[in-house]
Amino acid sequence: MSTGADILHSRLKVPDHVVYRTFGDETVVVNLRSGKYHGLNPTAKQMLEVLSSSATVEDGIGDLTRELGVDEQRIRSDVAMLCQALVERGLVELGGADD
Amino acid sequence: MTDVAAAFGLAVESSFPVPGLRAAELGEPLPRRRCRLWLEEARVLDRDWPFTEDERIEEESFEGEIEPSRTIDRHPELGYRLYARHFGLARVSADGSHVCCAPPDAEPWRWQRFLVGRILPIAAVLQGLEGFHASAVAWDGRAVAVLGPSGGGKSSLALRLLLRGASFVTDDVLVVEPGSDGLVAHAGPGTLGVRAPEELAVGRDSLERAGRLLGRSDKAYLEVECVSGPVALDALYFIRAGRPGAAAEVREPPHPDPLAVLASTFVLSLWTPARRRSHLDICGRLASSVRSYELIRPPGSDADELAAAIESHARSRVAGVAA
Repeated sequence: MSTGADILHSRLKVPDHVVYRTFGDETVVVNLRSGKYHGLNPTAKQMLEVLSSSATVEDGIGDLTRELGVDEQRIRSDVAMLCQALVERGLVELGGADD
Repeated sequence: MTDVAAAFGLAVESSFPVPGLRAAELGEPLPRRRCRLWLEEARVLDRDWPFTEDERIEEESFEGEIEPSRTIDRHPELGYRLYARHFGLARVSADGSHVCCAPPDAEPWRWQRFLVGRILPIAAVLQGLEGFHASAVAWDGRAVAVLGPSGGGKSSLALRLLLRGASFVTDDVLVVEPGSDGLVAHAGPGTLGVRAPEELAVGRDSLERAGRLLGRSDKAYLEVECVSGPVALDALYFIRAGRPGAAAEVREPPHPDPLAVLASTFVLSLWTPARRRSHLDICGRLASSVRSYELIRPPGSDADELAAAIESHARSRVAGVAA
């Protein structure tokens, strides 16, 4: 299991076997290997999009803090929980910043 | 002698007549996806099926019975073997382009309900289309679909809307495909199943006006005139239970409900990563490009009252778009 520090210095990647589409407010994420469907609320989807396009999760937290206008500590805690949940479900992979 | 007809987005070439599959006229445009149908004896159909190498992907039994009443087996190269008690056996090629049926000793229209209601939708899905549990009608070349559970009143509404002047698109299975501007609804076969209470409520004259009676089992099966080609899919109406005593009405939910769209998928087996990807794409497009409404159906409400609510709503939407 990744620690909070590991996650922050990792690069978050959505693997090729994971696809997501937006249905109004909600986003449905499918793991094509497991065949399982998952739902994301609008904030979680925004976090996923920002984090997956950032060099590291730490960089993404900075962008999200500016975009969402919420206290950084809260964003940091929410991002760590979201990353952990996505990793456990095989929906994202965490690698080194240079991967 | 081979007839060619369009159904579920397929150009169906059949060596035998199938009620509801209207033979295309010379020069009539047909779908590019082809599906060839022919008949065979069950023993011939099973002769080369590798029973020890296949995988059972679907099995249903009646309560209290051990023997399955319906099965689907899959083999990576040979495709699918479908069995349904009283309806016979069929093989569908892995790419959905060939269907061979071994019917039981029964009137053709009886076992062909399995062919048009189950086998052809599977062939369509194997050819990259997607099917939803819905009935649909059209006005002015724009289709509206009614979605809901089995026994929820989709076919009754299609019948009432047909009697109110709408064009019939499909009953029970709606096959859709992305088009240049949104999604298109493909016409199904021109057959409509009407439950006994609805048949009584609508009356014999109206039933005769709607179509030709093919026969009766748990429902009366009608052959009806169908739209001749694909039509733009304009709106989805999800049937929802209403409070007793309330009036039937159409409501617009604030956001499309992803679960409602995903749960309306008709073919719930045959999943591959490629199909899951395309299925999610089509469901996403349904949610983003086709307006969704809830049709509130209070207990005991009259199907014609519901049909009137849909017709009025759909027509006012089309008029609004035109204006």
